[in-house]
Amino acid sequence: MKRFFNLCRRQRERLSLLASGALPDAERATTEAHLAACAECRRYFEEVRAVSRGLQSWRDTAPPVEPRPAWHAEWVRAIQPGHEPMKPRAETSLPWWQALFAGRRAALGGLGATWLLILFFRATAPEVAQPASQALLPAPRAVLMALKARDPWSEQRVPAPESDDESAPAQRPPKSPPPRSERGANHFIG
Amino acid sequence: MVIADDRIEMPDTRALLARAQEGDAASFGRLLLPLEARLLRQAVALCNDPAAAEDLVSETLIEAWKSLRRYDETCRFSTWLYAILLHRYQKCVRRALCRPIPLAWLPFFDAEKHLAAHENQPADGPSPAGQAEQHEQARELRRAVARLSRKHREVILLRFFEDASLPDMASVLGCSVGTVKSRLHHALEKLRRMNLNLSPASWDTQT
Ligand SMILES: [Zn+2]
Repeated sequence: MKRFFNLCRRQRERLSLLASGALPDAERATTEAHLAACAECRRYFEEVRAVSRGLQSWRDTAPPVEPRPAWHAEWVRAIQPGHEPMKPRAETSLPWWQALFAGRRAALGGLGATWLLILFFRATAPEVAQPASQALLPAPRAVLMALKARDPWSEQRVPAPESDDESAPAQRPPKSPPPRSERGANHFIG
Repeated sequence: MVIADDRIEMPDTRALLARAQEGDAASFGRLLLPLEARLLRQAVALCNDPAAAEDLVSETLIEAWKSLRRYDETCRFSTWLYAILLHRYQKCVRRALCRPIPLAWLPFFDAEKHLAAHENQPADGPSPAGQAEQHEQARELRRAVARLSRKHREVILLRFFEDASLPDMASVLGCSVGTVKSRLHHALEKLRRMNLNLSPASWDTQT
């Protein structure tokens, strides 16, 4: 019985990959064979596939966007040497009352930051819970731009990465240009 | 979102890349022309706002330009760009995280309106009712993905929004293929355990 469950456990990762369309062809046959024989794993697979399809559906609901020629010209100009940086579009399109609101937000943020800093220095337990659920929510640039200048400690408080799934040694978080490892096959055209 | 293979097929792509890497901004501009629409759409999927998406892509492209010499073709060019886009986006979110008031409460971001504006488009997919359902599902998943850790979120977005292969993800995240597999599995497993209300109806329009 135990061996049976171990077998299933080993298949689960492959089933997730299969559901998300990322399972290498070489591993497909054994996984599909197990799937055909195991009702428990079939149920699991259907559930993961529902998630996968939901994600595809989210991707598909994003409307097609036609790049504005003026925008193209603008960013190409911005990368020319000696050219001044681009103005964010979201910021300039903000009505005055909203801009005001964004300013107040920033002020509140600063106040909160000060308080937390005071707490940090007074107590020895500086653990401040991150509102993790806020990640990935829409990020109106206007607010972010307004905050950028006033919030010097923002970059220091990165949510601690979860390491529950890491079988490999801890990885460095990716740098903005992703690290290049070795020169490999040419994926650029072919 | 069209995620069909976007590998650039123009014969002069390689020459454009080489010239761009030598510092020719105009070549970089031409190199990016066929990829802009896709990047913008990927950004809209994240920000849910066209203006913010445009800003995000501008930032991404400027960043990509600065580090273009480091692109060594170990992964698809679009995947490399998307990784930068994700990084820029997460930087924005991180900045926003520090505020005591949740971003979602900000009143001037109207995702509903934006989504509604696109509901009247000629539907090549599901009916308006089905579309509304899809949008509801998209919102639920957006919230769910927001609850994932950064590492889990990254692999989900790279896989589903960039259609990145396992080796490309590994290259762009600087980890092994095995780690990518494990992360992708755990990320999907977490989403599965959230018991989201995923309607079977919208599955059938997919692959
Ligand atoms: Zn099984």
